[in-house]
Amino acid sequence: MNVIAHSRLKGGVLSADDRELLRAQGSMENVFRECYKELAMDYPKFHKMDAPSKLAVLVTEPLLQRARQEGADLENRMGLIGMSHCGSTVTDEEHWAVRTETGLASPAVFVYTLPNIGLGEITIRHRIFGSSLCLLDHEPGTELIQRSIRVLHERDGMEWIVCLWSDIFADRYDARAVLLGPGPGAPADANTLRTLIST
Amino acid sequence: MDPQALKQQLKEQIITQLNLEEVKVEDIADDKPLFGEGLGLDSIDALELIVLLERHYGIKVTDPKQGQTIFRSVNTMAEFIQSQK
Amino acid sequence: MEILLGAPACLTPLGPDLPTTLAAMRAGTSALLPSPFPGSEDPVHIGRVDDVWLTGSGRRSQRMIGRVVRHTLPRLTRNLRTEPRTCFILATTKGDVKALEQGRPEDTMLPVFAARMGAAQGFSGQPIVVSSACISGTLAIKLAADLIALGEFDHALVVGFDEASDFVLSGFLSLHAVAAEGCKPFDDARDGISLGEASASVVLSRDRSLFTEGAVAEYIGGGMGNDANHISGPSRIGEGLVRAVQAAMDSAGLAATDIHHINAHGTGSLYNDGMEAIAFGRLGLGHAPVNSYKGYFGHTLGTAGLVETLIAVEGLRQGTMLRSLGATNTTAMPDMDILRRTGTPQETFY
Repeated sequence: MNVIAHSRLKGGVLSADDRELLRAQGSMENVFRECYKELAMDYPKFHKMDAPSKLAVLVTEPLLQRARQEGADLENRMGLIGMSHCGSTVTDEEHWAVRTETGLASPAVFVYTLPNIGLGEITIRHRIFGSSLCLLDHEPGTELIQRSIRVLHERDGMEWIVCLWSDIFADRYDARAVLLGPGPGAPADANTLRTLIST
Repeated sequence: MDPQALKQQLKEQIITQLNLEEVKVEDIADDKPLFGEGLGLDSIDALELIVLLERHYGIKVTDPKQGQTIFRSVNTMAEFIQSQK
Repeated sequence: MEILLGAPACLTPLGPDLPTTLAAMRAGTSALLPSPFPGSEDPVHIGRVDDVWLTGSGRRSQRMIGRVVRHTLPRLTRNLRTEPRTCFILATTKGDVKALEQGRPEDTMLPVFAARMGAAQGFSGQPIVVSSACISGTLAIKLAADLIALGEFDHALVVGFDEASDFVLSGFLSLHAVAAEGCKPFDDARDGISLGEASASVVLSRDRSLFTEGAVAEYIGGGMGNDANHISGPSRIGEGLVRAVQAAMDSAGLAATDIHHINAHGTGSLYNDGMEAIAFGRLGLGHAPVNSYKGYFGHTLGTAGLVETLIAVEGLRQGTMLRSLGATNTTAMPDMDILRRTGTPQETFY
């Protein structure tokens, strides 16, 4: 499989294929809102998502738009790999704070207290029914990424894969994603993946 | 509380509690359906409104099915809150 | 290539090991017991693992995992801790979420939890953590088998764990998703889930000689699919489940008529069980006797798929299909053969 495109959202900068799409100031929430506008998503559900889901949806949006342009069969042949260190920890903390401070849990917060919900939001937005893997690790290591790619591609028949590393803790966030597919591009070997995701 | 003030307060609380970023108080007419075609709320929003009633008005709704009538519009919510006093 | 499962172990609300758990299930015992819950006027039925079954010191989560790993590893001919080309996979949704309740969010992060688990069990290297909500345990088995089939590893230790916590229970209560009494999967009057907790472990290997008691099952296929519908509600037409089961049957080279038993998810929630019935109908599996184990010990979250697979395999090895506890009236699902009695495949026809 080849790297068709890649993207990153960190420190107020959203970029795709090393081209800066947006540079925004202010809080994380504000940056995410600016990205949402820049990407012209027209998806009111976005505002209801928790921060980790927003981050995952935003950084993969340019790649999935590109995949659609390339004629990828998103419904049946798109695999997703989502990796993270902190997972849903920031939302877990919020759920627990609401529950202890008010005595009542908030349903809309609780439903986001799983690490794979961001991937779920991506599948819902883009109607992706294929295979997905949600893995938690200290860092985006190329070995695990390559193994996951092999599982989705060689075992589950996914012709396209979006591989995502996204992490939020406190107000720090960092997300990188690559789109892999059959078209022209650098082969998805360890070196390429290390450059685009692991560093 | 005066019914108009209650409705105003409800609209503000709905927008905040449900993160309706692109909706303003004046977009919610008193009789506008909150679910379906109207504001387009979903089942999680309905559960969140049940929490809103308990947290801000001390009213417990134990059967979520009741929500279908209570949360039809801001009018029905306000009537329900008044009827519980 | 043959991929085998062996040395299964589990710790459930019904017992400290797999034979005890299965014996209790054959006797029709439910471990779902009323327990008081802060903020709820009525007691909530929960399946809890008895602490007397846990030995040693340290976090309860690590002791629950230690218990099953110590059952599994000695039943292998080689030491998996030092065996090359071995991977260690953990399936969990919330890990040690009780640490968050105790004010230590960093300790709940799953890579941190998994690293401690690996070290505590004497493994070097970072375990792979699969956290895909309720399918985590099943997906971990599939991932292990896929990695072995691809030649990435020769053996895999798969562990599942989730603990009943105030964190999760308060959330399900806010969703009005908890049954008033013990959950009743597939019953007409089902009214929600009951929370459970469990740990489980099993080894997958391409080497039959690894298992001192022989392999208990062969992995012949697996599949997965996304619902792409709603983050907390299942697709009304069971789209993700249909795709997953079809992919599993296709990869195994089986047709619907080859399937003679289904151990379903059957959470006891109105929509989940209805969705499963629709999916099995769409798949042409209406003939296959179906059961759910949630009525015995509740929904064990990320470990459910693992612990329930091991119980189903062990039951079938004893020639038994277990009745779907809690399913008394099933007139609303006439097209599904819900197991109403425990027995051999012959005995369960009535």
